[in-house]
Amino acid sequence: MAISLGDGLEQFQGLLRRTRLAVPTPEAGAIREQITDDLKQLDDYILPRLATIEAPLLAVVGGSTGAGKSTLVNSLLRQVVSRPGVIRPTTKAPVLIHHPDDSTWFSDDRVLPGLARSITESSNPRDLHTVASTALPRGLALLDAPDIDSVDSANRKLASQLLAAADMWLFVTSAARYADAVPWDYLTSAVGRSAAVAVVVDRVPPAAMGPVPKHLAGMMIERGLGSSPLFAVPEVPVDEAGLLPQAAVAPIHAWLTALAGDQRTRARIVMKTLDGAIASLTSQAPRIATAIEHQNNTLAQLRDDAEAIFADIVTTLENKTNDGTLLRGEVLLRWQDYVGAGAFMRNLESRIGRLRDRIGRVLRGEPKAASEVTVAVQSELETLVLEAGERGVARVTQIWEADPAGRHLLEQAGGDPSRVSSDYASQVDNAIRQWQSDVMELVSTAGSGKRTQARVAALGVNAVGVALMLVVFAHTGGLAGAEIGVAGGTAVVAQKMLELIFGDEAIRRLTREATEKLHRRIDAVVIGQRDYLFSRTLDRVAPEEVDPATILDCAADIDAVRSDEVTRLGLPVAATPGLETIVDSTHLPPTATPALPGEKPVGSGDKREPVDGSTPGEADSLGGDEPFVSLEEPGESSPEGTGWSGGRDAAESAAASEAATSDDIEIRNVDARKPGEGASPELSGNAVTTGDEGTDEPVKEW
Amino acid sequence: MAEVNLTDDIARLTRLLDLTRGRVPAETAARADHLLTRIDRRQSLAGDITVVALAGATGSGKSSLFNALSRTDLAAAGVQRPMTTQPLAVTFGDRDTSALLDWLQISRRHVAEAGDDMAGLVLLDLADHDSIVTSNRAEVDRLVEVVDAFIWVLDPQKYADQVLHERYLAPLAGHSDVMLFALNQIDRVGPEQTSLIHRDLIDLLHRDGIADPRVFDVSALTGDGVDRLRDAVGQLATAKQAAARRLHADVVDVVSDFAPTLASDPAGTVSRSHTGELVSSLDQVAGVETIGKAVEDSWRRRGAIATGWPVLSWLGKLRQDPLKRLRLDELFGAAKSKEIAPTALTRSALPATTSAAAQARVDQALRSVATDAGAKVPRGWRDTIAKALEDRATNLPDRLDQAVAATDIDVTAKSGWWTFIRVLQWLVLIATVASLLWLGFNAIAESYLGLPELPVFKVGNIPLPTILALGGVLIGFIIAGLSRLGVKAGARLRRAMTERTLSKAVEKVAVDNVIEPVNAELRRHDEALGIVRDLR
Repeated sequence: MAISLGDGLEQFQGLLRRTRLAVPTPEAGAIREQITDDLKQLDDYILPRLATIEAPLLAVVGGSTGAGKSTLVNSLLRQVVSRPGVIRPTTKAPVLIHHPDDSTWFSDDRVLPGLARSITESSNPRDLHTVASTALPRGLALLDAPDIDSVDSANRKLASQLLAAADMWLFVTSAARYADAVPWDYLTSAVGRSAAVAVVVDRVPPAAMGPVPKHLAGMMIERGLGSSPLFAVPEVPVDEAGLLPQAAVAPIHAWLTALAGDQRTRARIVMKTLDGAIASLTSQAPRIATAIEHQNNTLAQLRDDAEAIFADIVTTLENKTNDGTLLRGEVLLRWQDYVGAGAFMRNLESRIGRLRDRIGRVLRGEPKAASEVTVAVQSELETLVLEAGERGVARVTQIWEADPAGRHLLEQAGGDPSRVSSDYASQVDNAIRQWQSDVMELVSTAGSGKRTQARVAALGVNAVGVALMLVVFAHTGGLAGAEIGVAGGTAVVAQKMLELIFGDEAIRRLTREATEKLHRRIDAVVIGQRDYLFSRTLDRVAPEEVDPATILDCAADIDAVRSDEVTRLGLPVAATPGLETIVDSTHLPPTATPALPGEKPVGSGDKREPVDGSTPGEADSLGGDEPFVSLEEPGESSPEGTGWSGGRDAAESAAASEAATSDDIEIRNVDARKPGEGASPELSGNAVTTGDEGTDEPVKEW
Repeated sequence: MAEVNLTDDIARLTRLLDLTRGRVPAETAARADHLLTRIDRRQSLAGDITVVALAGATGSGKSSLFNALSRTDLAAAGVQRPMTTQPLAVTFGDRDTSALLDWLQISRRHVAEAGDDMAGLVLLDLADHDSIVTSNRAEVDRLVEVVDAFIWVLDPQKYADQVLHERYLAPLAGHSDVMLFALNQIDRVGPEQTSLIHRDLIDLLHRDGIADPRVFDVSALTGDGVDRLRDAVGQLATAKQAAARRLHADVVDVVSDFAPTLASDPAGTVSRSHTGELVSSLDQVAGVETIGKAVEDSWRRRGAIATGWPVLSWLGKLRQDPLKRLRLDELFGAAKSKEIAPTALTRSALPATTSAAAQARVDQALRSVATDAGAKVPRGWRDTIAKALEDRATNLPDRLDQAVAATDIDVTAKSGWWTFIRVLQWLVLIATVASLLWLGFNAIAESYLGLPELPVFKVGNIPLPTILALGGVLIGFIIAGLSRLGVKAGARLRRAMTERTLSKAVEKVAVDNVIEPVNAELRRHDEALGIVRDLR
């Protein structure tokens, strides 16, 4: 069942918001940042743009520090709206310029809701300085963004956010920078999500107006930007207001004006960028899903490791309690004391018989009470169990420390997670006491027969219970008989005694029951320590709410309806790139003849028509009489004339324009100092390339 | 600038590497190892030659500045980006630097005439570090690692680039001795703006951690400031110290890497109280108290037999000697006799050391020591300590047992006064028996035997033999009772002595097997920390 695109995206947004990735898996940090960016883009751009598809086109002027973005923006508007400076980085609060009639679109939180609107210049980078200016045509807004490559990381972040919120990038670089890696990373990412891009190479020394744009055009073609327009702006002195001569920016202005006037092209750009943004968003889904799975797996792995260690420790502990080793210590001594397995008793037993007790009492003091054996049992067992719990916790924390995620958990735990809980000792104490009462309970209820009861009573429940404990310790794998002798030595006495009282069968059952009870009791306290560790670490990490499959499904749903939506709007996505060039790279093998791709409105006369026709007012408001021939003016406007005093006249330009309509691409440059030299193409300020296909409706076509 | 003593640096770094091996991340050790190799190599290759690299962003004018500084036109400068892709070297003067340049893997080499001011200098023009030509970046990274000094070429457009500051300048902040900064292309901005940028750049460099950066405003185009920069470079070269300084800075850098793997304060040694806790835990395992108790009981038994009323005291012999029950008599007896040395193979029959609980107690005690000591040092060291103790835990009960077995405890010792008492008891007994015989004889002499009664002296009106007989029994008991008190006191004393002796033996085992290994590790850590502190 298809959902609407908006619903799908909102659902996706919800999923992203609920994705935590709190465990520091190798990729978690990057994905988390990615999600933050994605969420910003959804808020800043995708959702508002989808809701108001008719809103003006927002072109973000972004690029390198020192490339002259602010100067460019000011020069385009012929008014200082963004203060340039020599100190890098310069622009702080981004400036959004729009036509006064469009102010409803930008004064509220529709786009970039995270930035506070300010109508005055602001130095707070979390503000958005909005300027209404009639210098811009309706339907187009410019956003002067901070640089992408300065030392100020807040700047860089904001710039990325703004670029992600744009319908189109006006990417400004400079002659010194056009080969920098950082801007190209951005451009490549724009290509990746098919955002509409226009590139401006600014501050081109007049002498370099030939090779630099050419080289850059070649690079653009190589990197998939062959369909993006490229403008070159020469480095010329600015006027008193800090503006470039109008002629220098005229091509850009004209192009923008034409763009603003062409509803269809604009819509296409918007849809292309929007579609690309959504596609790039949904393309994240598998990575995010994998990251979530990895989170869950990492936590599960840590838990498994801990459980395996404790399982091992519990097994070892259980073995120790009944492989006879426990009998070697205090327990044995006390038992010997108690049953009087000493030489004296053996000697006396046969000879004196009944007198034994009385004389024994005189010679040895009171006979050892069974409770002394119980105390020994208690203390030995306690040591074993205490140590097992401590070892478990220490081993687990040691293993976890070797893993970044585990280390993170331990750091979050607070205190020293490698220690057992403070009440562990008393828990162990209790557990063993309880077991001892279990055993007493067992022997006192075991024999139902009167004779058995009488025998137990005669010896005392304690004595019989102690004997049973010893037999438990001596048992190996629950087997009675021969092993006892091996394991415990004197446990034979206990065994014999019990057999006499209860009989062979019953004693086996008793032993088994007592052993089971012992294991249950001590296992519980040891495992309790594992769970205590979990409660301080793993259990504090809320599991990922989002099911990886849901994200994938949601992305698939969006992708499915995305195509429909685009089709509905009549804007084929895959077939037609939104920005298409008049330059055809097949005509222009980049290495052979580096060319300046895609810039159409300038030049040919027929192109001018739609531009002028649709936006005459704007063209006027720029203060230039004819944007497309304005390149001929710079000679007058640049006082020193060092730049590009090319005294070209309109006729020549027109001729050049006509030439451009031919099948071949022509690069037109203004050469600064040697206008007459044949080798140099004539047009400055921008370079135009045209191809025949694009000439009919160039503005619409790009 | 103080002289650097590279030999000393090498010695300390080598020692540091030895001390920390296996206790710090492998990459840290590898870096140090790598640096030692590099120092060795660089020193053997014309250590007095100074290799200065011009490094910077694409388009900052490195090549132009290279030409201006070298007064050549060897480097191609242009507008297309990036221009230089292969590093270029020019050697000033007639020193043979081919081996050095081979090592630096620079194939484009030139020689330039030099006055005294630049002699001994090799100037390198590097490729940019920030263009999309990634091989350039790799080449720059490689050379930045190995050259002796840097001229960072910056320009008004790019001086604040993140790549430059985060990737190169901040990490190299320790090398400020061998770094010069050339703010190039000042011809493009006015003098006022130049000084603004100059100040801003110095701020940025401070933020990178470079305390006192030497920034030169130059224009390779107009030649402004180039001479001053050239002088500064010449000074670097003629001081012949740059190579050593750079390497010293590298050593400091690498050593700083070790700091996070060490505690911030010396760990010292295991405290006396922890040692005490360990010893008392191990005492329990070794059965010190059990043996002490047995010695006390045995003493009392022997004392009772020796000093008791002879008529009944023989009964005490029927009771087993507590030492015998623990088979300690054989053990200590064997240890005493000269023929059988207190061999390490002797095992006591002491049940304590072989029980499961004993091993558990040992584990517990060692873990506690490891945790306490480990808390003072970072993870690598903590793990080593834990490992060392884990390895020893299984052997420890045996060692304790052997230590106990080797202790000299006299199981047959007697006090001198026992003999005196014994003689006295017997005398009293003889007197008693004699009196009884006397009385008995008198009782039967007249009526049955017809013999005259022996004379009976009377004390008051009680006959003397009666007094002697009754008194003898009474005195026998009194002597036995009083002796018992003495024996008891002696037994307690004996027990205390035994326990002290045994505890000493246990302590020795504890110190040798537990405390000393831990202390050795802590000392190792502290020595490493000392080196790091000295060098930083």
